[in-house]
Amino acid sequence: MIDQLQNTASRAGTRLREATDRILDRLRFDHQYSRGSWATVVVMTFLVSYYGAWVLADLGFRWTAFVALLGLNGYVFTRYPSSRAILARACYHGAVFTLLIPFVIWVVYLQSPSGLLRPFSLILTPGDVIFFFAFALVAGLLAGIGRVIGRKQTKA
Amino acid sequence: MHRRTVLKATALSAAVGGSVGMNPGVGDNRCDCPAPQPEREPPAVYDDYETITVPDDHDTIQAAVDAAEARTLVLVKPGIYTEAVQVDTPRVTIRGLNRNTVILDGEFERTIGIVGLEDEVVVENMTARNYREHGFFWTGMEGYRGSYLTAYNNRMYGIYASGAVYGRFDNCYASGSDDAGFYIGHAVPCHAIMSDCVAEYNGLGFSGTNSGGRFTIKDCVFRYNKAGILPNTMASVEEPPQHKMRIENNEVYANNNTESPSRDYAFMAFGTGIMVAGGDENEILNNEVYDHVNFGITISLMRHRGWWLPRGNEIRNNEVRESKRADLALTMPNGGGNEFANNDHSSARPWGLSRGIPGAGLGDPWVTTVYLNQMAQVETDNYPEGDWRNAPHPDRKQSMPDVDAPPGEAVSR
Repeated sequence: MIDQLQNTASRAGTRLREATDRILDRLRFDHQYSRGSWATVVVMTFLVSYYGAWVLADLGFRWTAFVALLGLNGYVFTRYPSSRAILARACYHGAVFTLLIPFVIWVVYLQSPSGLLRPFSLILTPGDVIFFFAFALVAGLLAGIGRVIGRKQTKA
Repeated sequence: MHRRTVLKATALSAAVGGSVGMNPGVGDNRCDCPAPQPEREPPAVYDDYETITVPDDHDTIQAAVDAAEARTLVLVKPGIYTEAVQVDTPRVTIRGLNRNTVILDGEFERTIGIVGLEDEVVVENMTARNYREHGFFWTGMEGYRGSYLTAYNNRMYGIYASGAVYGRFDNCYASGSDDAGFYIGHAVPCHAIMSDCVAEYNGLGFSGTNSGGRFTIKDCVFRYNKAGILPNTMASVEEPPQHKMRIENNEVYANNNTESPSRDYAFMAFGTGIMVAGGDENEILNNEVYDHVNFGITISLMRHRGWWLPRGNEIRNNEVRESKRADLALTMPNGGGNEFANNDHSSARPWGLSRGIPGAGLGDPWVTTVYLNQMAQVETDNYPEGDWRNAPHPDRKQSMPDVDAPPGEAVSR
């Protein structure tokens, strides 16, 4: 009985050590990163997170969003093996935030501050459609740039 | 002002990147005078004057005014006067005996309630409603005053001065105009004061194109308009850019009214308490600004035959709260030198605008983007607006305390 418990504890300890090592490897960027890739992760994580927080600031949680996005973007970017792949991924993330801009602008109108404001008269107008497509175009360009960068990486 | 043309030009130029310079013409028309007022004595009263009473002496106000010489008091008894009055005699005072029951009615047919065309025309203590252009209007003169006036459901401007200097609006009320309740523009140096007035249910509470220099708006209330106070620059009128206006001690709130009448120009500033659009060296001090869906106080660029980038504006000691996007905002690009300091606020675009954060003076493109969204709605002619003819009617307003006082000059110099 005691042996069984000791074995179980030993196996659990081994798994925990392995998991901790993996996380530490990731945090140390020891798994496969050159210095350049490491710098790309840091710079892109900061830029994309700041951009995302800037987009979401109207919703009232700019800095919370920034911290959360730092973690999220950093985690995702470190899954990619090279600077090119990280850049491509950063472009995709940037495109998503760009596409969000019109929606964030409209959502604020739904948080009506007074009885004289009819939010639905301010959104979903033909002008909003044009506005949305303008941002969709920019987002598409950004995603396209990401795709080109990603393809070059694949060919390389 | 052909504002639709202006807006189309704006959108087109923005789309193609713009082909004209920044702040064209700046430096040509600058006023050396400061924004605030000097200490002034009360205006002089006339020692001797004539009095004409309507309808005792003449049936209509116009007939009384036509008969008046300089230094005449036209006293108007209660009644509804369906006329449009033009005053082309200087130093005439038109005074109602009761602000709420002396009513000029345009019946949605006539254009302007009273228009003053000569120096020192004073209008007091009456109401103008249902005119297709303006309730009360002064233009091209030196010395004007409107006191204890009510203007409602007049299409364009309620109480309006253009190209006129040395003036005052006090204790006035304006509602239901699709451009602005109050307008003082095209005058540099302006030498004007607007005080103790209320503007509600308009496109803009106040609009002033290219006006400034000893020009103060103080102790007023701006609420339930599309936007509150909007000094602005346009190249189509004289003396651009707008500069050197002081806006102080006003209460500005809930200017988010989708139901109020509006022109395209007014809607572009929707949901903003105070906006300087392309103006320079204005002073925005000690105002209480709250409950706006976009921004409390915005310093914004203006596009009209060139980019007018705001610069050198001072925004200080204001209490700004409950803005959904940001209490304080500065567009990117701007002309620099816009100083936000000691404002009680909880949010800003860019972040740190009023806290001395380096780089904040560059502005935030998000602010520009929000207004571009509203411009897109204007360009497609699809934005919320009410009918100026059906705007809410005001309740009774306080009349002039002493209707027996002798008439006098509009304001002291």
